[in-house]
Amino acid sequence: MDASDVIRTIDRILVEDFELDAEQVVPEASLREDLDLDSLDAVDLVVALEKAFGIRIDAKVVEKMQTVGDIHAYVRGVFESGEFPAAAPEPAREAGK
Amino acid sequence: MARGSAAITGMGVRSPLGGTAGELFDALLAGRSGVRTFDDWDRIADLGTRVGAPVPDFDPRRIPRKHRRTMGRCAMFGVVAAEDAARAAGLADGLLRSGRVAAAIGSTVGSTAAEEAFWREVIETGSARGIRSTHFLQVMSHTVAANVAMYLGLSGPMIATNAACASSNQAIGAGLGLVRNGDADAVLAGGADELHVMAALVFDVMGGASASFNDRPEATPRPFDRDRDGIVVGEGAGILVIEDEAHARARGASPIARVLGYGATSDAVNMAHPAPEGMARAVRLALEDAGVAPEDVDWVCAHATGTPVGDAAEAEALYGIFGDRVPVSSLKGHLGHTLGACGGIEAVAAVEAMRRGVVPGTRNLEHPDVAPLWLPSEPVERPVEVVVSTNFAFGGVNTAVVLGRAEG
Repeated sequence: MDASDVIRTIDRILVEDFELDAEQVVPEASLREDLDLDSLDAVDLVVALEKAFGIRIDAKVVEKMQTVGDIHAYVRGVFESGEFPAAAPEPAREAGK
Repeated sequence: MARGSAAITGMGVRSPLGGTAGELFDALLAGRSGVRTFDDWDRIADLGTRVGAPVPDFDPRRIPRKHRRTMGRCAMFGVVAAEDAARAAGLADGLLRSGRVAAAIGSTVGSTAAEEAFWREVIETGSARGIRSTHFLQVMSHTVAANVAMYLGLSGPMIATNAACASSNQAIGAGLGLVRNGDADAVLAGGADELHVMAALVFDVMGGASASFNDRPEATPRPFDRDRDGIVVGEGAGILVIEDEAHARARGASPIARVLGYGATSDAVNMAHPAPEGMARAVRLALEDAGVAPEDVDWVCAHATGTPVGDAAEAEALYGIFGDRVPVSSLKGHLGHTLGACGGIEAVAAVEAMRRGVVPGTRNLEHPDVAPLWLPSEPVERPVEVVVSTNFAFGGVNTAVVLGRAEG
């Protein structure tokens, strides 16, 4: 999987799983302001990315991301490092009540 | 002695035979069936029943994703029916958010499909990592009430009634109570449920699911008929706006019908076996609560699901109260058993019966073999001022709602 495949897959997840218009999904798009994604969506995005790429992602890292480009860079970085990060022991999730 | 009625100012429905009250009632009068065969249930060995009554052509995309992500199919049905009901009642956004509008809505459980997906993920992967954040919000037993409240912005009390097939009637009873007590000006009340093979399977293993008509789905279920062989599971939602009548009139809304009374009992005898005494007590309590005599009732919309034992017990209970003077019919022959939604859908049909002056007959009833009630199999035209609607559930739950015509 090369870098453009990674980006295409991430964008496809955002479009299909989160029902966004493809035109909205650009690297500079803000996840919260432009795409209206929230903390519940962040958890689900981690699940979708992990399934798509067969990697483990620290949910806390994803929660700090601001833009689509941040996700691109993070996942590409994971692939380029050749070392998949271990899962966080306690992934930050929406508090249950 | 009557304890006071509440107005019904709006209603919404999703059913195997229609997404509006008018569409549903036309189908009931025409004697249509919403039952079809599910060939893919063959994947489950030793499951006898292959019939169900789905809501056809349901497009959930009308619900925005941010709301829809916390909804299984049952909550989606509940939300669209509640939205229709609120709109029909003319409940403005400011009123919905005033803290004076409540949700009293039930379902058997939450979304069974979501629960299946949850455990499939955990069991197949042996890990918790594939679980989405919104899974539980679809599974939880109050998912329909919570999603309706969230979607419409309801900020009054929230009550989730989860007593299987009696969920809707319990919700209507709770809604009446909230209005009578002054705890809410209006209540979105009713129930919703989704068709999943689990419910069919549960009835099947207990010998209560229809399994003899898999090749003729429209011939089952057969309430009160000698050839009845069990339940056909359906799905849908039925939601009423139950409102304080003075409040409704003050905002210029007219009642389309009234909730006159509610009665409920528990058998405390047997978890699965119906007891006519408990059923009859619930109906008598409801009549007393409504201040209505049995001879004033124009239609009994019976629970009668098409099981040999349940229909006979209900017929015995109703015969002791109404004799053969009141038409008694069940909508399950058309719609299957929509479980937690049935009381809500039946209430919508009852309002429509009062509006039109005609009572639907029981579909697939050819040879009654129960107590000698008046059991029409075809529509009966007559003025309909008062309707009693019964629902019973596993666990010895017995409920009856009394509805009245708006002008009554």
